[in-house]
Amino acid sequence: MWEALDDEVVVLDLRNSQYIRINHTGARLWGLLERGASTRVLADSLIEEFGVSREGARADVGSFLTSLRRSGLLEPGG
Amino acid sequence: MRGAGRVRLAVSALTTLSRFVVVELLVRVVELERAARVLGASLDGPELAGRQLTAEDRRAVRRAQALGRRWPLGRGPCLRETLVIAWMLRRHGPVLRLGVRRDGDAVTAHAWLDVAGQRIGDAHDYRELHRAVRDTS
Repeated sequence: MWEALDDEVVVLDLRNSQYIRINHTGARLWGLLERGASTRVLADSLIEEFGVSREGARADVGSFLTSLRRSGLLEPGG
Repeated sequence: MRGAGRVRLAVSALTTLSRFVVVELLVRVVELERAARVLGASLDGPELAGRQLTAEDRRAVRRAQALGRRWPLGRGPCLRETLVIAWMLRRHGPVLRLGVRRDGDAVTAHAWLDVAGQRIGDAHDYRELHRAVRDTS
């Protein structure tokens, strides 16, 4: 469960009742995920907003999604 | 009658205390959503409408709140207290609400309950948490 607070997102991991704070960059990706964005759209947003290379953006998005899935913060898509 | 009243009060206090102990154990070993479900609360969805809290329900809530203020275990006494109350009012279909607010650089979490058309627990300034994001990436 989650809520946006200013420029960060606070996520509650229901498995261990731990709160996780996601920083500005992660919060940007989280907001896009909430609207159903694909991996490509997530990477494009990093390139556009932070000027990173496509390879770097892909790697960042990949590790972000992996950590969210590992924490059970992404529900399987329907 | 006075003696019987005192006994009833003591039994109620002990019952509430035992519920706190059970909830404390539960939240330490079971996922929060499952713990809430076991105790009769849901984490979302509409609360059941149309059933009023009785005077005894309200007394039970006050007892749990009084004990919750003194509960020494765990980092989140509001969660324990809320789950105890949810358990006591489970026939009303309580909904457990979780929220956060910013306090300077820190983020503070809070739990409260919506039950029988009433909010139990101060949710002032707290923003309620939503469900997890669906993985469409």
